[in-house]
Amino acid sequence: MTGSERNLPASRPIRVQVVEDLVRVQTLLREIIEEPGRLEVAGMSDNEEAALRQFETLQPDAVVIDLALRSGTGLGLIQSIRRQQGERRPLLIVLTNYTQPTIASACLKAGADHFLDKSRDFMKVRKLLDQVP
Amino acid sequence: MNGQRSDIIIRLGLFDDHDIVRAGFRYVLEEHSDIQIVAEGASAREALDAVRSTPMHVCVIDLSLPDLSGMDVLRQVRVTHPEVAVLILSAYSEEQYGLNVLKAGASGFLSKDLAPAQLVDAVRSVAAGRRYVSPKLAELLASGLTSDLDQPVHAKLSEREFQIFSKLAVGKSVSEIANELCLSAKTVSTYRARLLQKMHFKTNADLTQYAVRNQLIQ
Repeated sequence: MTGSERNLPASRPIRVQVVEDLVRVQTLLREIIEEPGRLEVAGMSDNEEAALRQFETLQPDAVVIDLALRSGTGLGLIQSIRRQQGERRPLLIVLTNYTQPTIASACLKAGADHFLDKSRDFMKVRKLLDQVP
Repeated sequence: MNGQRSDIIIRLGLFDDHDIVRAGFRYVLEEHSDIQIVAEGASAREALDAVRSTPMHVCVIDLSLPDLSGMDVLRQVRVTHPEVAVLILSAYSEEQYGLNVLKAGASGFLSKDLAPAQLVDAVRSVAAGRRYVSPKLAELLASGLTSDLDQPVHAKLSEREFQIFSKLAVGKSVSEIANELCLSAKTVSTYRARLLQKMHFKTNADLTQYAVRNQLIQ
């Protein structure tokens, strides 16, 4: 069965960094994302500067990014991550309530892979992470 | 061609209290070499200070700022720096605010759901001295669907103006009205001139016709 094959534990879990300023949403994202042996939340931060430092240390496979942060912005973080890209290209998923076309366009041009509406597409985060090779 | 046009850089100020909105707009605008952001801030105070201290062609201001409203900033900038084109940015709909913002002297109204290309168009249009009206607002204006146009003309009159309008419409003279309301004839004439201007009429006969047509007099 292809479904059960896809659910086989990978040799190493996919490491996800979450950048989100609201504790409640951080908790919710952890619940949605974590699956022992397969997906792990390797780091959590609530501002741009701390998130960038954490990214450099962790080198995660994927980053889920809120745009409005305690300080700085998710857009600034996307730009910094894409500037210092190494041989591996992490998946960048924006999850935000700021869904104006101008902001979406800026994020995608800056290098985000997906732009999700927090009020509508919350569960899509997990689907996208499941597709990480 | 001599390439002179590329030397013209549009100097722009950007004021919105959401960091991410400013960051998104900055990212989109700075991709264009003819636009340079020379000032940025999150409050009306910062906007007014910047307009005073930093030469700029265009100022983009959010309607809802934490201290004063964008409309207050607009009115002050119109007086102190009429050469600066003001674009008002708002999460509210164009139906609600579009026309009022233009009437208060803004060069354009930007709804937050506008497309990036429209934003750049708007900045270039107003920098060139034109007004920017989005296709959606143009359509609303054409079909009379903005809040302002929904109102009958007499609804724009103050209470006193409407009182004098009603008396003029039934054929009373300025001096009769002055006596009835205990005002000087000069004051009544001033009210008359003002209400005629507001209603875009020239004579008392126009007022009477309007009043009959709108069932304001029997």
